[in-house]
Amino acid sequence: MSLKVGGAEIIGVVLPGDEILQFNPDVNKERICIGPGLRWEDNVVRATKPGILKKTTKKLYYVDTHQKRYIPQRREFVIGIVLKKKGDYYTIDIGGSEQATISYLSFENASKKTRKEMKPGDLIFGQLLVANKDMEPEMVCIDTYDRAVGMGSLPEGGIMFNVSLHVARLIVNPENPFLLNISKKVQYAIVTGFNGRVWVKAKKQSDMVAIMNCILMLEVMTLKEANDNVFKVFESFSRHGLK
Amino acid sequence: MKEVPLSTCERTSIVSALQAGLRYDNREFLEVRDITLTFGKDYGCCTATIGQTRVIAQVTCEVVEPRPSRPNEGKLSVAVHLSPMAAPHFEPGRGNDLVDELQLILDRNIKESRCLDLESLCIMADESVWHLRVDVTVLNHAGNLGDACNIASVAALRHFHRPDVTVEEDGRVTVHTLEEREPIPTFMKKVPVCLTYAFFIVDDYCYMLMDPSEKEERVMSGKLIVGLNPHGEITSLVFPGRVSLQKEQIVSCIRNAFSKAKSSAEMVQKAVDEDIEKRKSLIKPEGFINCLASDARYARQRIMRKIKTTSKTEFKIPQEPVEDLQESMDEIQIKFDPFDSDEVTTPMKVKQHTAKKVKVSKPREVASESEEEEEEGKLTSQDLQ
Repeated sequence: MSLKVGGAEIIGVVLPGDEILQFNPDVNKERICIGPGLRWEDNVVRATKPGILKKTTKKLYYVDTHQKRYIPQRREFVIGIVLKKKGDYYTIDIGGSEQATISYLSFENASKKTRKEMKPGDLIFGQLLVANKDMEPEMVCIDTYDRAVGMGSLPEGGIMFNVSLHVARLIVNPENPFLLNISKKVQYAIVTGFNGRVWVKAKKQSDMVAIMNCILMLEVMTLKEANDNVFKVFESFSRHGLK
Repeated sequence: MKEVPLSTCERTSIVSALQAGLRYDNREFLEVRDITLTFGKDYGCCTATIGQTRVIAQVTCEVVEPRPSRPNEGKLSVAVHLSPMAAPHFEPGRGNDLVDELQLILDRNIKESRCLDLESLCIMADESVWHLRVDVTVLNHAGNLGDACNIASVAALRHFHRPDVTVEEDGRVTVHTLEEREPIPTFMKKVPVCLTYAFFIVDDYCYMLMDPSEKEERVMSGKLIVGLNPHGEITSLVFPGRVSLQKEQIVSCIRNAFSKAKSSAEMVQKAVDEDIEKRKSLIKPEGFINCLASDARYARQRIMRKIKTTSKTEFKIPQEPVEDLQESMDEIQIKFDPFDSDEVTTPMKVKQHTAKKVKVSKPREVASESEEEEEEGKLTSQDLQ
């Protein structure tokens, strides 16, 4: 039995130690990718986390589990908070066990003379360039062609909140209509980091808080239920605004 | 692990939401989160939750020698434990300001308020008395730990039953097991209640919130923790933070607290009595098994309730015991709330003082005075209605 939800095929619920499949690289010529929550040992792929086993069309297997602690991964987009300036680097918090760094040159159009000035407490959206075990992660705000492509420091006036990691993955899924559903009600800008931080900006403060509550609804509801309730959440906030 | 820093964005957005008359979880300014009480399988074990905040209290007893200065009084001690389980930035075994603050609140509210009749804990004067020890462990920190710790330890103390003892003529003391003889309940004269008010000073205006969440606690300018009981006595006033207020504001907080104290105390009493009644009618206690998925369940219920109350149809909370309590809380709030919402959205003006730390160190007895205040509070609320 398999279900298809938002681009990934749901295979079933697994517990740590469950055998997923046999895979011997000498026999099986077709390669597979194993994502978070899985481990390959003695030609057997086993689960290391409890959760829902999913498979994407590219033969990528992973376990989707409720997790709040972020483990930095290379190439992932994250939102960081600037902590301090340290020489040519800014120290930032990305929610992982270690603080990350970003060079002041790794912004679009930055040079030694036109350096990017940031204050502690500012938010940066960027991509992880280095994320190894026992090493300080490094973030950049440019791609290989030195373009920002949406990365950089986030403007003032939005609100930021934390969601669990699987919710963050869920809402950025391009096949997920949830964010578009909200946009039928109100115009807004949203930035989602894979470290579970979400930044939202809309015109009215009450709209921003309503969007936040809509997204937080996904923590305790299924996508379908949440979709049904989006407009009701907005109603409850608009009532507030009238008072 | 270090505490995750708060970005400027989070700080300013909480404040600007308040200016728009909104709280992040769609609560009114003086609305308290859902409070639930669950009892363990043994006597004197209780978890209290306020929203996502979760605290467990366990009462234990032992026979000790009394203090020479008070030979016929039992002993009572309260200890607060914060571990990395509550929030990753708490370090195990090392005290911090928060532990000290909680310890202070609990000591004043429970020990020094003399809500428990210590003389009833005496077995033999000068020889042996009961020593009750309340261990409060914070399981999850999501703001307002003071209220949660207080409610958990009060409920645990009320719920506690100590073993029966017999004293022979020659002075030998026998402690009977719970199976041998019916255990004796603790006698609690007054139920201490603790309520927290958070203050946000923005451009000379003071916004007052009840039951701050964790993020609100990190942003707020200061808070006032009022310990009191429904008999009109203030047992403690703790006022940490960098905020100075007018006298009237503090008095109005205390009035508001008195109007809520009764319902809060009744809720605790009712929950404890129900559980003890169940035990007496030999229904096997379920313990904490129902707590397993409750956070998500309560969050869901809350969202549904908020949504439904807005869609104009009358919403009835299902008749579950825990829900019941919350319903009664909500009702009381609406009735006796001297601050109507209009007053909150046009907050009181405060003079800017230099930042200083104010602490009222001595528990004050203002029985007669505060009863008058309570009456006044009721009157104004009726007037407003």
